[in-house]
Amino acid sequence: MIDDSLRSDLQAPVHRFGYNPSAWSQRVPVCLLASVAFVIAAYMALYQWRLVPGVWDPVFGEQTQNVLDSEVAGRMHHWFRAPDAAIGALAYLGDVIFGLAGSTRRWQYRPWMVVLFGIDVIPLGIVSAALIFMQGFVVGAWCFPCMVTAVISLALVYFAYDEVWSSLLYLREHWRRTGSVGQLWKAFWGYPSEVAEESAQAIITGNTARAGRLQTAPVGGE
Amino acid sequence: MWARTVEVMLACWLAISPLVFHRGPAETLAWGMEPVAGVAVMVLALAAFYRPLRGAHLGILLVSAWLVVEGYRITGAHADPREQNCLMVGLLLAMFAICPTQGDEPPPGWQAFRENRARR
Repeated sequence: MIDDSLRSDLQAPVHRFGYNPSAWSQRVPVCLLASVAFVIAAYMALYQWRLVPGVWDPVFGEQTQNVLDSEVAGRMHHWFRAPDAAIGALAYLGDVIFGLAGSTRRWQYRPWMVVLFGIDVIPLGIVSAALIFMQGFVVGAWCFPCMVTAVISLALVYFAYDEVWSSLLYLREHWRRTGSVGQLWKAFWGYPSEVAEESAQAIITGNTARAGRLQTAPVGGE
Repeated sequence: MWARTVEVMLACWLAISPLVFHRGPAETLAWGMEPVAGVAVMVLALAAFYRPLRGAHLGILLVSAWLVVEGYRITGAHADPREQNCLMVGLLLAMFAICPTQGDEPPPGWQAFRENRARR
């Protein structure tokens, strides 16, 4: 049972952003966008599995099928042992799953989850978007559904970075206060301690420690 | 809770997938992998609902690793649907398995910490 003070703290805004980056109002749009990208990628995977006869592309027409049947796609199929669109669909589904898991203060209570979410959204999103925008030059054909998913990937990066940034700020604050790799490791995995709570309060209030200033501060027990 | 529910559904899919992908009698040995993995996933996912065993779902990571490795190892250049199914379901299970059971609440450790703090 969660007490009232904890319930209200779960909604506390982060000073840097002026809102709570782990709030549902921030995360649900990410999950919805990722769901749209998942459906598009799954549709293309169905074509690559030959479960649907063709792919509808209102802009480039047949070119989408040329991209999905290209030698590059075949090589990726060989590496992954599954169609590249199916792997992409899984990655977008991962964005949805990791976006839904965790409380509205997970940037503090489960930094590992936020970092994992960030890895799935930010570097993978940027790389996949770059690859998709390069396809016209490499494959010699363009794919409108792929471009839509690439634009969604970049939008996801924009929507997700604040939460990842808050978690990293929290971990940096914790490091400044303890100077201990062990304590940082515990904070990353969400183990509670007095100093972890103080670090989170500092991120909320904006009253953060300057590097090295609080190195000798006592470390709270669990 | 929802992650465990989805795992149970995926376990059911794994258990019946040899029937979906038409395993012949010559492949009796291969028949065993998905149902065994399905039963293991179901047991681990259901065990996680029991509070003292709430971390049991992490065991699903081992099952998913087995599915992915086997799916990848068996599959050649021309992957057949059964191996691709193992690969995809294995990856999907891994993503769900790392989600905590009471994922939308603060971890029990933090809840206890806050209660102790409030009492002081």
